[in-house]
Amino acid sequence: MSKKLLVILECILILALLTGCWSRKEPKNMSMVNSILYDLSPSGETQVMIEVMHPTGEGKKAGGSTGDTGSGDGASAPMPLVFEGKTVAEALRNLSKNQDKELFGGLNQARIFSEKLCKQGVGPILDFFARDHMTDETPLMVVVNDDNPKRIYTCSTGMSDMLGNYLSSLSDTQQKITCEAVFVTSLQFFKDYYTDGQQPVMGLVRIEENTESTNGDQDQPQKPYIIYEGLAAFKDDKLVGYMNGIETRDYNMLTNNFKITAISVPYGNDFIAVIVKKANSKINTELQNEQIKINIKIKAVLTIIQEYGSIDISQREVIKQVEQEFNEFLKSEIEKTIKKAQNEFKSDIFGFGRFFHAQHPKEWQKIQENWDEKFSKAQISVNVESSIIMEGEIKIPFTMEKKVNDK
Amino acid sequence: MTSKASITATQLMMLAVGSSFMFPYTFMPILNAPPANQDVWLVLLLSIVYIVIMCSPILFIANKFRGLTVNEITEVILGKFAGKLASFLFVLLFLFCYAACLSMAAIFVKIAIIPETPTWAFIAFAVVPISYATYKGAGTIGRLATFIVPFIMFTIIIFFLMGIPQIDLKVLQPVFADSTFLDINKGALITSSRLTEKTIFLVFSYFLIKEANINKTFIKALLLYNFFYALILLPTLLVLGVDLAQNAFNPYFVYTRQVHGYDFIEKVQALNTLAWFPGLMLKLTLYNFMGCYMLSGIFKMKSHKSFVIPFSVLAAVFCLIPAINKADIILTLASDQIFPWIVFPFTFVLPLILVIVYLIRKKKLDNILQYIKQHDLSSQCLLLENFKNDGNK
Repeated sequence: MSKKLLVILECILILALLTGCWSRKEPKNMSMVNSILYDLSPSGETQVMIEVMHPTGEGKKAGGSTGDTGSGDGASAPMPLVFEGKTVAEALRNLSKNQDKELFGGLNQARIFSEKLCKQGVGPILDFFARDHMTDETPLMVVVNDDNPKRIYTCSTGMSDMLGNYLSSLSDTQQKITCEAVFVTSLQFFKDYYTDGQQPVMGLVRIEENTESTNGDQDQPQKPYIIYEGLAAFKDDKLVGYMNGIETRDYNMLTNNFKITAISVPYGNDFIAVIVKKANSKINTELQNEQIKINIKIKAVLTIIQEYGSIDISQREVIKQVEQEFNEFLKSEIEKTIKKAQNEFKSDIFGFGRFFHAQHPKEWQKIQENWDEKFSKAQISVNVESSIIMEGEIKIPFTMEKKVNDK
Repeated sequence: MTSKASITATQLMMLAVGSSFMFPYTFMPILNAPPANQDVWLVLLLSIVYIVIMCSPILFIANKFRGLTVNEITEVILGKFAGKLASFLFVLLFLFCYAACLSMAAIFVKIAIIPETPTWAFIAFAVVPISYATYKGAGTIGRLATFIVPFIMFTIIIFFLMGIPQIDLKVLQPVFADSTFLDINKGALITSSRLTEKTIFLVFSYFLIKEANINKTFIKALLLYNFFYALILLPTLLVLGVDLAQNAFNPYFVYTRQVHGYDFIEKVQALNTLAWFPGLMLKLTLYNFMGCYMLSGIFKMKSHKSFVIPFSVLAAVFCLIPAINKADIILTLASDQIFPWIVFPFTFVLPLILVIVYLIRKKKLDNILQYIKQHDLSSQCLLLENFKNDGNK
């Protein structure tokens, strides 16, 4: 009997443990962060602006209280106040002076940085991300190229309810259509930052004013919108410049992060639009008399999707010519892009240093420390080989077919 | 002494493998062992050779003195006093490992999982099930391993498969170019020195069923351990990169945080913790049991049970000393400069001394062993007294 009593007592004691632990976090007491903007105040302190989920959708109804600076679509309710601190940790804790719930960063989708902050260096903030147990490495890292980066929270977020979700959706959809942007997660940035012979990049956002009225109401001010295109190049933890969409497309090809894109190749007086379905780069490095030579070979697979009618692409010789044109076109584009990184950024964002390390490990030990300098003086040679595998669902160009019929 | 429980070869293998997993699973020391670069996987491969070499004295003794407890073995080989001293040294090793691993676990939990939970609470909740399992003895621990270890293996396989899309094989380049053969050997020596689980074969071989082969069990355990260690090490290295993995307090946990699949499998690191905690319990239970069991042998007690709680209390007190309960102290303790070199003399030098003394006294000891086999004896008291009496006759 006493044994049974002991077992019952044990069960009751065990039940007491089921209530949870000291560090339990109740969702009802938490503010789920969707995106955070990091900026610098005029006095040089760190500013944070946080977009939190509003589980009741109150932001939509209240509008004025939290929706003034929000995207205004409802659930999105970024903090109306910006908090400052000497460090990010201090600024985030200062937020609690206004926020009644504890911040939870585990569902954060995007870390957005102002240009000013990135030029000063993001290293200390990265340290916070890597050290704090509530932050993780999945959010996207984005730079806002705008004088007033906080404006990003006033932008239209398309079909998404919050900015963080919007940027996350873009990373899913945009890469399936074009490769003119980079979607860099915090993990990828950390890795590139740590890796010798590779400099990190971040995604780039531009804010455009919407001057066109879509609903016919001229008095109603239109929300600005976001253009997610290009990349922000870093040298160590400091921003050194931007690349536009075309240059970013080349960056993606060179780093083998390329998915798909459409390119209009000049041909005579017209253009031929091709879809680049695949582009793989092979990088070979050499060291000749202290001079580094980087040989890049790109193999691309193309499909023609639009032709102006001046040539008959159903013929093999013409296809060969188009391939030749494409090769020359892409080669000159890529060379320009690399030159920009060499001369303007002096930062090896393409990771050629990693290839040099792998291919010349002994020499790498000697030049590792000043690789970026060596890279900026390196001789680059690009060779593009393309093959058109399809010409679409018709054989003779549409307009040419008409001319043939007219005759 | 404790009435003899029996464990199967599979249980012994699971015990050794499960306990060994906990270091790579918690803080993966191999990443910072020489050459501390992309060649660490070569270190892992080479460590197999070193483990075999380091385990050979223990395996030799365990095979030669099969059927005797570890206390009996030391006393038969070294004599009563030196034997007890050797046994006591093993007890110190197990106490140190118990306390050190408990401290490391407490720090990891505090840093990465539940920072607001006081260390004493974690230790209290860990020590109770550990003591209970230890109290129940070798058979229960063996059965426990057959539940816990396959689950850990399952999580390792799942995390490995789900991490494949994020793997960057270029991380491993250049292969064997930034490190020398000496570096790799140094790393392999340190990695294998760190392995305290060699002693499991010494202590638990007594409980192993007669049909089981110790050497075969050891080889299987070693291969299984290295295979799963590779499944932990490689994705961590290939997804996080060498430098980030080295800098992380718990690289495998950081890796599991990156794992995601389709649009709904994400933030699954809880599965890692779910496997880690029972695995840790198993490791600590083993240390507790081995320590208590050897103490009971030293003091000629019938059961190890009376030592279980004092042993756990000692370890818990050690963890709660404010000067020790700090991340930097624990990191130093677990580092390659300290931990392997504390463990190495107990797991290799001491068994090697036993082998050397055995070889010196081979003739006499073989007679004793033959006597034991003839009379089917396993208790040391009976053994020595009977042998002496027979000798006098």
